Amino acid sequence: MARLTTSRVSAAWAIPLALAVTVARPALACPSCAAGIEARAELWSRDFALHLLAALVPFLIVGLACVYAERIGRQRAASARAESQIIPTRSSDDALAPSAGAHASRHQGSHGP
Amino acid sequence: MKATHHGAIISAGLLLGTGLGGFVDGIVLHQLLQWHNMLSSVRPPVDLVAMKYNMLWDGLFHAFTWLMVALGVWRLWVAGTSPEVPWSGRTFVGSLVLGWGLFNFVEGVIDHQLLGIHHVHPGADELAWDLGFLALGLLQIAAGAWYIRAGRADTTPRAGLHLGAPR
Repeated sequence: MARLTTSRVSAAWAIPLALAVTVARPALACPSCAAGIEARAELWSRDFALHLLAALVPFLIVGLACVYAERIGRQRAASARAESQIIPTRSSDDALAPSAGAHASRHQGSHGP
Repeated sequence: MKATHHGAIISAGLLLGTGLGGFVDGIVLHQLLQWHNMLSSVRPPVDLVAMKYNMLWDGLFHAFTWLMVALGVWRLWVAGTSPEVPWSGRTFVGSLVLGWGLFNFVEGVIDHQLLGIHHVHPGADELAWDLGFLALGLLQIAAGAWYIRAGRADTTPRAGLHLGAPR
């Protein structure tokens, strides 16, 4: 029983100790270490704008290709829409023509010899 | 009326292809193999500070690739809700491959050849590696363009979308 109590006490001490060690370690390690601070400082000092542009330009070119693809697609869709609006008019004309012809022939038929 | 607005799905595929291809580049080449770091020719990663400096730039590269994926998902959503856009697997996969290849080619020409800020595998044979990377990009562009062309025959919108229905 006494042994159990002792182990409980040591476990209770072990948790804050482990937490203290965990919290204390990053203070000595990176990103707060000297190497990390130096690397971050270099980011701004060494031709940052030029390097950022170099990293960005390939993405921007693909972005422009996307804009172009969307624009061409929209134009094609618009022309297809315009065609589909013309086609029913033509087909309705065609549909009218035979009936008109039939009507005319019927008309002729009624007044035929 | 047929769904003929392939542009929206091509655009989504290009963005996603660039983003996912960029992640393959970043994970496989930058991190696993530890080649091709963003500014490895400007600041060779031979000590801890230089490695961390390159790591920062690799992080920026990954941020841009993430942005491309996010934009690609948005465009794909738009394409999927439009009855004018054909829901074509061939067009989409072709665009993914084309986007990846286009990015590799453009990145290779600008960063490796023109600016020389990094190379695929720095060292004695870096030109051969760079040319191989460009050739791979061109191959991907050709394969993607061919598959997009095959997808032109697909004119059915995503299931559940009716042409001419009010949006």
